[in-house]
Amino acid sequence: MKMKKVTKWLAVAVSATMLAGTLTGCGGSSDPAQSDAPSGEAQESDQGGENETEKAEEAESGTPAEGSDQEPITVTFMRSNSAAQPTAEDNKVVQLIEQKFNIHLELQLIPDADFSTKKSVALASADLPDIIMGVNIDELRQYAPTGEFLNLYDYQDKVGDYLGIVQADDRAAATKTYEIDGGMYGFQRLEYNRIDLAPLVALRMDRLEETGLGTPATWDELYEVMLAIKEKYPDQYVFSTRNKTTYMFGQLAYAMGSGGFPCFSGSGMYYEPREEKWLYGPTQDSFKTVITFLANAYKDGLLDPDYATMDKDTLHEKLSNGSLSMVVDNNSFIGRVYNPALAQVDENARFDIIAPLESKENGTRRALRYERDWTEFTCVNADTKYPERIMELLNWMYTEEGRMVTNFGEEGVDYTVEADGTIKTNPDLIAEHQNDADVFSGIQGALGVGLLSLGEYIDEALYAEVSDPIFIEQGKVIRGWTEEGLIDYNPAVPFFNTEEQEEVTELQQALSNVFNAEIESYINGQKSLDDWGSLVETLKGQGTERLEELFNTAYQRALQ
Amino acid sequence: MTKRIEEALRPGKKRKSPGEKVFSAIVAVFLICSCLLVIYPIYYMFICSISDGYAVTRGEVWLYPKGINLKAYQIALTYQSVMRSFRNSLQYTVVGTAIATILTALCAYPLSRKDMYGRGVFTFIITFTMFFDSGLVANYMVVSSLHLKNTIWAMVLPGAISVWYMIIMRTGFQSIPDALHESAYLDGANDLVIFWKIILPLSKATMATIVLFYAVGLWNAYIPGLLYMDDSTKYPLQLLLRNIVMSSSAAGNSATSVAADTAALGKNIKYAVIFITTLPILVVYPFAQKYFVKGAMVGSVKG
Repeated sequence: MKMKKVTKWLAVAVSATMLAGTLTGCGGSSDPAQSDAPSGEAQESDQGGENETEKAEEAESGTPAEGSDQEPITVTFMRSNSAAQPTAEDNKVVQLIEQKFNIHLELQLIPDADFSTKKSVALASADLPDIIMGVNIDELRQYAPTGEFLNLYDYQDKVGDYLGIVQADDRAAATKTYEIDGGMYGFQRLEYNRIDLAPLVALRMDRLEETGLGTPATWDELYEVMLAIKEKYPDQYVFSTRNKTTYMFGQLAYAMGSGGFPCFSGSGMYYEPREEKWLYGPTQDSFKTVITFLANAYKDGLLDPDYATMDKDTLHEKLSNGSLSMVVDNNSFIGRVYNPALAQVDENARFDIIAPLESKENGTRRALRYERDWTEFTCVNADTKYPERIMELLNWMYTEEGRMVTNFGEEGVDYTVEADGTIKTNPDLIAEHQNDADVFSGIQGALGVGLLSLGEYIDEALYAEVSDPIFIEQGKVIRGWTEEGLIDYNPAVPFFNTEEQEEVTELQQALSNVFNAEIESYINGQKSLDDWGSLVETLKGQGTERLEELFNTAYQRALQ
Repeated sequence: MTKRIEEALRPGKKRKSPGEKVFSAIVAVFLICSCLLVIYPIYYMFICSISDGYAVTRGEVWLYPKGINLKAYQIALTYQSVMRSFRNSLQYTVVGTAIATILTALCAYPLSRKDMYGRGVFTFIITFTMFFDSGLVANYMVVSSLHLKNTIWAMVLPGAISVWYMIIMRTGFQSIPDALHESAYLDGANDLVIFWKIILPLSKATMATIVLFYAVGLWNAYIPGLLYMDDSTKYPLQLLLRNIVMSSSAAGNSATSVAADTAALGKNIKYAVIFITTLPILVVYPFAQKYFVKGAMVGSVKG
């Protein structure tokens, strides 16, 4: 009897809870402002009339709003969060933006490793935050035509500073390639002052001295040096790579006068400045030089046979413990990884970069560096309630004031500007982060500044203060080589329309399948280089000429 | 001959033949190797975490630590997000396991009764979802439109009933003799009372197994946290861990500036974070693993 009563009361309680839950659910969905709008909207009271008046006034004046005059709003802002440089949620940049614009940035910091998944789901479901940072060029081209992002050209009076930069002579051509159907749908991350970085040949200089040979100036001389090192250290290999075979080709091919797989690209297509057109690298005659170099290196025991499976950690381990003597990779690893680790076991051991080498066969002396700016964009949700204020905010990040805040924090507190214009970081701030995994990353993450946080117009001057001087020196050398014309910037891939893009993807996939299946056997000697022509013919049969045609048509269209 | 027969019949110690001895030795060596395969990665992680960072980079640490220091732990413990995510994961696991176990039991019990009306149809409908999933985007849209995002419910409700575990539990319930139900009915008990007072007490091993399965699943889950949580203060631990572990592979490989290139986490710090966060589980697991053995047997013997 007692049990029956308990059961009845339980049933009533459960029913009441379910009813309450249902009603709450209905209540939530009946308010369109709360259900359909980006999350920031729900936080504002209904003052649409006032807001519109303010917007009209702002539009008239065309100047960035001061926060104190405007209604406080919350705007959601999604970006990736690096494990090595975690951005603080309530960082200095967020605070300064709130003070100036009365905009509270509610950061959605998505772990870097899974950012692409999160971004894909958000884009595919059109459930976006007000601002999303880190949209790549392919996503921009796919989703801008669907109307998910605001067109910057519709807000020209608000984004004048940004347009002034990207439409200046030095960037106008590149900017053109990012336009979609005549519209501009994202703020590109731009370089203001970057410490120059390039994937270059780095050699163990102490071992070079041991060989008695001079610094190599050609690829043939480099090969001689590697052979001489091998002779002195017969138990060791001389070089390897960190990201599988196509990455290795990317690092070597262009520098050897050919091309393909540039800068982490999985595609054999590259821009050949001598011919001013896009080419598929592996089918060019010049590519034979590259494959011959690698096949010989494998045969002579210079190339580590694990090259095809080696990852970054293993490569760094081998370079840091003296097992390898040459690498073609970002110069930044030299001062940060190889040299400090080597110095503990041998004080004379050191890597250093050498100038781009001449290829006698192909008549070139050149190297390739990463794009000047980043091909990733910050886009504004087309459904946002505050388009104009967000456009103003993002535009401000490209102004002098915004650039300083988003790269260095608060003037007088986090940094000072010396009489000669040098940025001096507050010594207390440096001391505070001295015990972090990395001082530079620690400061940047805590302030929310720079490339891996909220910076849009990147200035790496802070890095000069806290890093090994070798970086800065190498940076200046690389800048010099770039200005001399020895190092070229990797150009952005041209924009394809939907049909072209589908065909390009299909052709590249087919070519990739053939190339990846065959290439190792030419390097490790299972197939003779005399048969290289048959692979070239097979690749041509898969449509390399059509692929080149598609690239060059799109490229010419962008130039016009 | 007689002696051999006597030895064979003698209770207690039996002398092993040379063949048996060799077999036992092979088994022992095999098991020791298997144990080392499991233990070594954890040991390696630990010795790396207390070694000098550059020694780890050079690959010198593999058997014992070199340049012992606790700097990696000092740095790892300053990561506010680690402890916060640990608390979140604990909360999601406890609440999620409770909800999932209750709902699974409430679903499994009626389906275990042969006299339930439409049992076959319900079973088919439920089992159908095991083979055909609606996909990531559709799930995301459902959770988002129900306003569950950024709440604990987004973590625990979408996966509240695992059909597979429900079937295991149903099979466990079915193994309880019908006679018990009948006698309970005759004594005036209703279904709820039978479920509460007879079925559940007799299914403790099944329940414990399912609780563990759910708890481990929820503890290891990172996809719901990634998709349904925008607020990083609500991230589960696994999401954070994954980011740390992956930082030296894919994401770290595409560095195109000094800033991005420099922001690489030291291997020793990475291992220290992993070790700190894994330690509680390592401590608890040996005491809980016996239920897994029982769980594997649930429903395996019929009749």
